[in-house]
Formats: sequence, C-alpha cells, structure tokens
Amino acid sequence: MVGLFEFLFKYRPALFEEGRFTFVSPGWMQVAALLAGGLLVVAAFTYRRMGSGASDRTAAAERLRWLPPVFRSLAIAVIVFCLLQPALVLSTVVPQETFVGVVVDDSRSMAMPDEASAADGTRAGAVLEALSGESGSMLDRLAERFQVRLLAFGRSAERIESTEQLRFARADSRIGEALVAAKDELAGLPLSGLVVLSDGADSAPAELGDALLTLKAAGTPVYTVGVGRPRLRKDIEVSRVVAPRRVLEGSTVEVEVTLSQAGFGGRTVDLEVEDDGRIVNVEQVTFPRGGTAVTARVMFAANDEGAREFRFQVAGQPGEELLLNNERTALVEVLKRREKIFFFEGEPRDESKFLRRAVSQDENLHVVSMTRQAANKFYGMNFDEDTRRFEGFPTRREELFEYSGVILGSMEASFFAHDQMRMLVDFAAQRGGGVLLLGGRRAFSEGGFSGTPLAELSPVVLYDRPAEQGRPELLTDLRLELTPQGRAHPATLLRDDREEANELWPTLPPLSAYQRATELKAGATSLLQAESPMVSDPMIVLAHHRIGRGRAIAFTPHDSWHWQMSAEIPLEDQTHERLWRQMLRWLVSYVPDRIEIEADRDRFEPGSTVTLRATVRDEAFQEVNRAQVVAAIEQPSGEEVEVPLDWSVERDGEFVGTFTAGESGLYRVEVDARSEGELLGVATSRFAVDELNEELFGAARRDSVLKRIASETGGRQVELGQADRLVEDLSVSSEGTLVREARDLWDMPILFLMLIALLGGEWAVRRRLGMA
Amino acid sequence: MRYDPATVPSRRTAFLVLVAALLSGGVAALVARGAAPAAGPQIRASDDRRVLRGRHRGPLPPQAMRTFERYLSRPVDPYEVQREFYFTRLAYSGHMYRGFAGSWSIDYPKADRQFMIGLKRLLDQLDAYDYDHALPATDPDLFRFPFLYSVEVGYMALSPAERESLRRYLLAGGFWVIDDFWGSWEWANLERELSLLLPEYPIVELPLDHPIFHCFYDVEEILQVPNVGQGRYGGPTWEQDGFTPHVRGIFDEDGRLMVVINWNTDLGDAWEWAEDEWYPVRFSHYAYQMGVNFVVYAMSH
Repeated sequence: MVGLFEFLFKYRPALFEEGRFTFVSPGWMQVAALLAGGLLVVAAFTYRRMGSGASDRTAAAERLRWLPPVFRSLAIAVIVFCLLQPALVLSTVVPQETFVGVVVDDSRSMAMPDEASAADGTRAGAVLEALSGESGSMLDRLAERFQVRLLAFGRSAERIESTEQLRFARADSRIGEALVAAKDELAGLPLSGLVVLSDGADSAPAELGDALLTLKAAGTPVYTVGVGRPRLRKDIEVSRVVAPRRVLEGSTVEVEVTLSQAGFGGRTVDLEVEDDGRIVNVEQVTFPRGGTAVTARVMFAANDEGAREFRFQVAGQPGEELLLNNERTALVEVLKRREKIFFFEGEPRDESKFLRRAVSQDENLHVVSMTRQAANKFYGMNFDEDTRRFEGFPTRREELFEYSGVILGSMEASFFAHDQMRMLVDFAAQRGGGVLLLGGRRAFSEGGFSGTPLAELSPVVLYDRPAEQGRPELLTDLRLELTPQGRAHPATLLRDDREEANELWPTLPPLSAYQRATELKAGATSLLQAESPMVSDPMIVLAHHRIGRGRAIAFTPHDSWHWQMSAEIPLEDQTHERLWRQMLRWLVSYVPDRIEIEADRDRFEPGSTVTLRATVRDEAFQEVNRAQVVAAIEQPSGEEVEVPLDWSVERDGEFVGTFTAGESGLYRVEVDARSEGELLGVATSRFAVDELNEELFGAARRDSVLKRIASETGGRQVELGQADRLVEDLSVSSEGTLVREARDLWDMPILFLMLIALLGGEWAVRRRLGMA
Repeated sequence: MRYDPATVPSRRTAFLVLVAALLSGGVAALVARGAAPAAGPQIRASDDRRVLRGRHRGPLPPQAMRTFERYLSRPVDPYEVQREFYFTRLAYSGHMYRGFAGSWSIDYPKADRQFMIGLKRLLDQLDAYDYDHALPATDPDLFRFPFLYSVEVGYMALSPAERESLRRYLLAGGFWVIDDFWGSWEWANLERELSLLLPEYPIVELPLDHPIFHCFYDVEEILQVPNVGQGRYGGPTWEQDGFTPHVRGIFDEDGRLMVVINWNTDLGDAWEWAEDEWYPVRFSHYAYQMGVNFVVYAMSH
C-alpha cells in the first residue's frame, strides 16, 4: 500500500505527514492561473451554445454532452496546478550536525537461528551484516548524514565503539530501560532519534509504558528495526504457569499451564511436573490444529512441606528451533498449618458426623462444630484454646472471621438474625472466606433461604417454599455424574488418576437429597449433577460461585456418608474421606489471612528490585492504615535485612517497600505488623532469585512491542534492509539541527495519469457524440 | 370260617398300602409346607411365629425378619418414610435363654418405642423414626443405620456371617450400644463374642469425664438400673453376681468409640416401664439421660 502511494505521489506518506504543502511559483504565474480560469468559463459557455444547436441527438447522447467540457476543464486545472509548482516543505537535518543513536540488542535471544537473510542464519548475523556489511551498510548510510553513536543493550544500554564489541550473550533484554539509558547517554547532543535493532524480546518486569512516556516527553523518536521472524517455524514453549503461591500440605495443587507452539499442531506431547527431580505428574496435551496455544490444567499432590519449586516441562521435539523455552518453574509454598473451619449444623445428622470423621485425621484442617440438638441447645465440638467458644451462631464478626471456612448444615434461615445472615455473606464477600452449603431438609429453598441474605450465598437459584408445605420430599436414587467442568476440577479428583476418578463417580452408591436445585445462578459453575425420575431437569449436586473476595459451594445431597458405611464399599476405601478432605481444602484455599505479605512475583533475576506488598487488617478484617509494618528478609546466605514498609496510600491497608535482591537463591520474608505497639500479626512469604531466561519465551520477533515503541515515540518501524528509508525518515525528523527544504510535487506521476485520463475521456465522449 | 385268599388282603398288599399311604402323606406334607426352594434362605410362617415368640434358633434370614416386622403393626413403615435416625435393635442368634433363644428381643418393642417418645421430646431437633426398628446383623440394610442397640448379650452366639457383617459395620463407622446383661457368666460370654468380633481392640472402662457422659446431659455417676420386677418391688438392684454397674467401651485405632457396654444395669427396662408409677423415676430419669447421651454422641463423634 505504502509502495503504491509512493509510486503515485513520489514520496512516502510519512514525508507528507512531516512536511507542509505550498506553491512556489512566482506571483505572475498565479495571475496567469486566474486568467486561465476566466478562459475556462468562456470556453464552457461557448460549448453550451454549440451544443444546443443540434436537434437530432438521442436522449442518452444529450445527457453526455456535459462531459467533454468538464473533462477539458479538469485537464486545464491539472496543468495550472502543475504550473503553480506545488511543493512539500520539509525540515531536514543539516548533514553531520545531528546525531543518531543506534541501539543494538546484545542479548542471547539474538542468537536465534531464524533470519534467513544472514549468512549464518542467526538474528545476530543479520544485524551485523545490515549494520556493517560490505554493500550499503546501515551504519555507512547513516554516517553520510548523521553522527552515529553505537550502543549495545541488555538490561541497560552502553556505548560501544564498533560492532565487534557485540557479543549477543546478555541474559536480559529490557528494551524500555535501555532506550531511556541510551537517550540519557546522548543527552545534550542534537539527537534526531534512536534506531533500535532488536527482536522485541523484553524481559523487564515493569510495564513498557513508563519508559515510552519518558522518551516521548524528551521528543526522541525511536525507529525500530525488527530482527527475526515474526513466527517461529517449529517451537514449543511453556508460555505461562499460573500456580497458587501457597497451598496446604497434602492438597491437590491445580496449576494452569499454557503451552504455545508453532509447527506442531495436532501433536500430543507429555507435560511433566517435577518436584525436586521427582516426576509427580505427566499430563498429555494435544495441540489444536488451527490454534497455537493450549492451556492444560495439571493436578498433583503437594506432600512435602516448605518452599517447593515445581518444574513444568515438555521434552524437546524433533526439529524444534528453541529448546530453552520448553520449561518453566513455579515456586509454591507448601504450608503445614491448620485451617480453621466452623461447621454449623441445625440438627443431629449422620452426614455431619461422618463429614467430621472424614477430615478428623487431616492435620491441616481443624473443624470446629456447633450442632443444634434441641431448641436453643447446642453441642460444640473441637473448640480449643485458640478458638473462641460461643453458643449457637457467632454474633460478632471477630468470632466468625477467625475461621477460613464455614459449613452450613441443615439449618433454616429463620433461625438467624438478619445481622448474622449479613455477617455470613460478608464472611465470603469481604473476609474472602469459603462457605459450604450442605443439603438437608432445612437447607436452601427448603430451609426458607429464598428472599434472605443467605440466598446470595447459594450458587443455585432458590425458590419460595412456604413453611406450610411441611416436610420436603426426598429425592432418592440419585446417581451422580460429572459435568464437563467437573471432569477437570480438583475437588472431584477422588483417585490419583483423572480418568479413573471420572469413571468412578457414576459407580458410587446412589444418594438422596431434599433440594430441588435445577437452575444455576449466572456466574456459577456446576461440577456434579444427577438425574432423578422425580424432577425433569438434572439436579445440581455440586456447584460453586464467587462472592466478592470469597466463594460459596453448594453440595446438595444429605447422605454422602453412605459412601463410608455402604455394604458395597470396601472398608479400606478412602472415597468418602478424600471427597471431604478435598472439598474442605478447596473451601479454604486462597482464603486471605489478616496479615499478608507478597513479593510482586515469585521469581526474579539477580539484581532485580523486589517490591514487597503487605496487607494489614484487624480482627474484623477491616484494613488498617495506621500500622508499623516491617519486613525481615532472610537472604540465601542467612543474612537478614529489615525493610520498613509504608502505607501505599492507593489502597487501604496496603504497605509497600522495595528491596534489591543480589544473591541467587531462596529468600524468606517475615512481616510484622503493629498498631500502637500492639502486635496485629505476622505473615511470611518466599521468593526465589535465579537466571530466568525470560526473553527466550515468546522468542519470535515481537512486532507488537516494536510497533508500540515506534508509534508512541513518534518514530517508525522499518525492516532490516530498508536503510535508505530509515535515513530519509530520520532526515526529516523534527529533532536535531534542521534546515528547510522544498521538494517538488509537480512531477508526481498521479498528475500525469490524471491528465492522460481526462484528455482520453474527453476524446472518447466526443467520438461517441460524433463531435470528433 | 374258611380261609379265602380272595377276601383276606395278603401281607404284600398290606405292605403296598402302607407304603402308598406313607408316600402320599409325605407328598401332602411337602405340598402343605410349600416345597423347599433350591436356594436362598427359607421363609416359613413357623419362623415368623418362632421369632415372634422369641424362639427362633440360629441366624435369622433378613426376609424372615421383614415378615416378622410386618406383624408389629407399626403405623408408619420405616422404609416408606426417610428419617435421619432409627433406633435399630440388633436381632442376633443366641444360646437358649430361659428356655428360648430370642434373647435379643427382650423388652422389644415397647422399650424401643417408649425410648423414642422420650428421645424425640428431649432432642426435638432430631429427625427420628418414631417406632422400633430391628434388623438382623446379616441384613445389608444394617449399614444404612449407624446406631445399633442390643440387650441380653450374655446369651448372644453370633454366627460367622453375623460376626463378619457386624465387624464391618463397626469398623466402617457404626456405633453399638449394649445393655441389660448381668454378672460374670454373661460378661464372659460377651467378652468371648467381642474377642471374636474385634480381637485387636481391647475393652476399656469409660471414665466419667468421657464426653459420652457430658455431650447432652452431665452424668456424674453410674447408676445400677434394676429390672422392672426388682425396681417395682424395691428389691435389690443387682442380678446374679453383677453388683457394680459398669460402662465400658471399645475404641478403634483412631480413638473413635465403636461399642458402649452397659454391664450390670438395665436401661431398657427403665425406658420400657418409665410410665409405671411403681418403677422408681430416678432410674428412668437416669436411663433416658444415658440414652440421649448415647444418641447425641453417636451422631456427633
């Protein structure tokens, strides 16, 4: 498109954008143009007279008789336009008086062999040839008009004297920071712009926007020269790993791994999960034929306490161009602590007894229960000195919010005061806790939840069921089946093997439920359902949804304990135990603590600035801004550094501080929050410092980055072989020492083409009309 | 009178008639009894009657038990309604007891029904079946009822099949309350049965600070509850040589109480005769407290 424009209009659109249009003809020429205009009017009038004399023309011909004078007039107008000497006035740099910085990416990714134009096939080779090759090198062409300063960049940019100093071995390439450093390096010089030769790989943790704003403010246009292919031919890459930062010991960790590929569509590969050299899971992933990326959910058990580095890798495939991006690691802290769960039950039930029993041996779950035995008579169990004891349902937020999860059994809504129901909703929405609603004859719609705040908690749509309807009917013989979402969810993984687990569900003894829950709320997900002859639609058995910061789960059957007691189930079978252990772990996973500390990422390059962010809340989970927060960082060498954190002002309860991590290894952060001398709490977190090879991920040329840099700074993106164009673009830059230059436009090919077309058209019409 | 061989039946004929009569009688008897099916437990009306009279010997087939239950005119069929709690009595095989072998059914069904009346009043949130509910140990449905009650276990003699089912039931999560047996002889029988049933788990004395004594009512003292005869007439509270009441238990390896043994005491009679003006109310009071605590404990631990 640009080429066509350039052919017709003589110059590229860029020059028209930069320049100003004018006529450079002397004054008498303009008077002559006015006269020519007058003549045109006279000519048109004469034509009209001539035309009206003939009477034997057809109606069609009559309509065409206006065309010849119009064509003739336009042709004359084009000639007049040319005679007026149209020109484009451009500010161009004074040769050798302005500077250009050529910034070359010196990182490892430049060694990628995907540049066919180079003799050795690598990006680096292509850059070297383009910069200082034999014929018409970019540096020579630039040097004809500019003073050229050569810089190399990795994490930052430094001056180099010649391209021989380029090694293409730096581990990092932070393009934004490097450009700002280059601008600073050349500060004080009349700078026309920066030319950056890069593949666009950017491993900087910070957003590019800040650096680009700095360049834009300084008026430094950046011309980007892309190196490498925008798409690798054959490559598999572990592009993204989303893993929880912390899990309870013995939990099933669910990790989302995104694999990108080029040239391997339709292929099935093994995605291995390694924990300290031990393979803990292998998931087969099939790449779609059409698309490029696929996201796999990998599940594995985190059984060893402490900070664990899980490695996710795909073995190199034959013909793959880059192998170093086939693995990524995620740091997961496996915690050995007891999550407290409050189980509130409205009646003595075997379901609650067996549920508690199923998790009683789980060292990471501490289920405190309160069961109503008779009107206003409760039986509390498992309270210890760490937990507040209360009768009935808590009335104060502090009492309820100390738990991570709440299980609500068969308890009718009318039991609760409005504030208690609100508090339970806030427990999920504000505190971020998990609420599990169990089925029962007094739960959900059957317990009058509809129309109360408790209805907000339910992931299933509730209906009004007046109490006069009496005892709800029991739906029996429910055989459970997984929904498509349930087939991949960790809560339904009752066996180590996913396939085995999915096949197990329909074979379990049938259950029964009082709940006629057939409709999901918007945004809720159903994991298990059951067909019942007593209801037309499938019954929702297990569903969940998010409520504010927390989540609510519904499990509608009331007798899952049959899976423990049934004569069909072997004694040693752990299905029931596993179901509830997983369910409760899921319930309390990702539940925030009162005091939290987190580094902005889990892994850093050596020398990175680590931003620590702490959140401080009081017992009622209200954010505290007036607190003294200090992070003690234990470095891999054992040395401890204290970093005070300050309130961020942007968010309530958020405290921020930074720290430069020099040593490689595992860091431990312990934060201590106090308010008026009183300890609010402590929290710990970990992060790792290591060589990350971040730029090898997304290793194909990143045109999006290069384009963005060029467009936001006022520069342009050019290809490697277009040195001429680059020189021209830089020459008409508005930066540097400038001189004005007028470029003729009268000889634009478009004008000649128009002239020929108009005169030819006139002739053709005249012939048609018999006037020629 | 002259001997005429035509008029006097020969010995051979007499023999044939006798054989024919015996054969036809046997066939008629078989038909009357409903010829025995080739497989499966046999259900016979006489079984039901024997069970009703408590004179059944050997393991009770579940089908027979169902037939038997139909005789007990309960207004609500336990399998029609679905309740959270059934006071399930174990129908076990046993030795001869006072001339018959149905020791499991002592005080049945009145004690059970009467206990349910009290239990439902005291635990008003409990969704319980109102009537008695007895099941043999070999019935697969037993696993649907995790609470089990037994009496007169001094005469219990479990068959291997019953033992296997009961062991599985207890280890899977069932809770068994044993009551109303007295003295060292009956204890020895139970101990032998339990040693066959759960050989790896010892029987231990439950201390008074155990939660089972405090989960609903605070029971501060173990009372000896006499049978109705001795209770009504103010006789001694003990029977045989069972002078001291004990509450003992069997725990599994996780510390879960599976079996509670009330020895030298008769809670069942105290429930059964709670309305009797001659039966001392303190015993009924205590028996209900213990019973409620057992149920609360069973449904929460």
